[in-house]
Amino acid sequence: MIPLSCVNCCHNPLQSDSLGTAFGFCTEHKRVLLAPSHLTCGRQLRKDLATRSARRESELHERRFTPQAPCRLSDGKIANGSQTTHQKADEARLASDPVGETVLEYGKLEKKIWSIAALRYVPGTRSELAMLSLGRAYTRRCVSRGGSWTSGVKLVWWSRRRLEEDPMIEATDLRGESPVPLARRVDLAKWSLIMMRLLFISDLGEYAGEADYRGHGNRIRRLSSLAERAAEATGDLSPRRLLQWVRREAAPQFDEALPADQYERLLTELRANARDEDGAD
Amino acid sequence: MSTWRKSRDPLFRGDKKDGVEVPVPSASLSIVEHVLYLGGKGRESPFQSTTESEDAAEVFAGTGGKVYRTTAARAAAKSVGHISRVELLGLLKGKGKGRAKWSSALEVMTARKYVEQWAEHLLDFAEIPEDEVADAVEEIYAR
Repeated sequence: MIPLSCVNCCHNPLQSDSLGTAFGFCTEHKRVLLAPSHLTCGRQLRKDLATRSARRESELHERRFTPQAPCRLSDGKIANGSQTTHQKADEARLASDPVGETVLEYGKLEKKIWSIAALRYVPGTRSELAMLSLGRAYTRRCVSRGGSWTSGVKLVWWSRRRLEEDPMIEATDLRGESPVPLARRVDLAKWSLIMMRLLFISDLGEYAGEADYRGHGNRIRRLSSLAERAAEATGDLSPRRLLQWVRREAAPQFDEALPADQYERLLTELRANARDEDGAD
Repeated sequence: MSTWRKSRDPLFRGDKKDGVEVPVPSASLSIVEHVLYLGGKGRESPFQSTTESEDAAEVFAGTGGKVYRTTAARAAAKSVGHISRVELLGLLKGKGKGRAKWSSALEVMTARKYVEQWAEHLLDFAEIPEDEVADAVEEIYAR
């Protein structure tokens, strides 16, 4: 049931199935997660699914688990002190890591997007994982509260800069025990991260479509199927093939859908409606 | 990963301490839905996930759970099907094949990733009469 756990939730930006730290952090409940594979809550937003599927599964999940606190996946009971903590000493340990420190600050600054912005300047794969996770959660929250589909456009624009990069995954970035050889684990983790970039961009296209946005020849809406088309075109779990497809197909499509002048225009509209940016707070 | 052999090697399952979850043979579920756990907790499935890795099973069992052990032969003796990791990887391509056919290539690939990561095998209870499933599960797994 690990896909239903906090490990696979966008609100826990420190982990994915194969990447990240041994413990997690829930930015919704402000708890260090000591047993994230066995915890969940009604706010779970799956990292591994595209927008529509993730939304459908979230609705099903919310019927089974309380959104009020982290709880046990096995029986839905509220997690105890051996499973989560919010003690200062544990938070201090989390803050000793640059990604952990930034994630811990999430929601404490005036605007949440500032914390996500700060992750841009922290090098490494784990910071990108955190930015993509929180970016998806932030944009989804803004849209669900009536904000504009453009609320996450800045974050997606930043993701574009890394879109064609081969993720540099160190052995220390990998989490958990696995029967898979180390080199293959790195390959699978790379595939997951590249796919997360595409899923974040696909979210933007999906929200633009739902908003019936007709600017720029509907090209942004076409981005909604980017991750799906990548999987269909590459057909296996090869990060090399996926990255080749991204460079050949996805990057040009993104640049055509959201050229710099269009991005600047959307930003101007966004600034004029500050509520969108604050929507996630 | 050393080569798993059906005739020689065990399968493990991490589950609750008080017993193994009982599948629902009549449930109509794609292999992709099962592996991705689509449909939410408590959804019914004719499949049961196992792994060739005891370490992986321990992750699923957690500190409050238990690792159970079986073999493909024990499952076969109770007429329970076995779909090996290699067979699953063969089915989880493109938009899936056979009982892994699915509408989303992305979800097929993600299921494939989980199968590979966790060295997953499925036991298939679809052909077992509903009133015999609990006994079959009890007899398949050694405590």
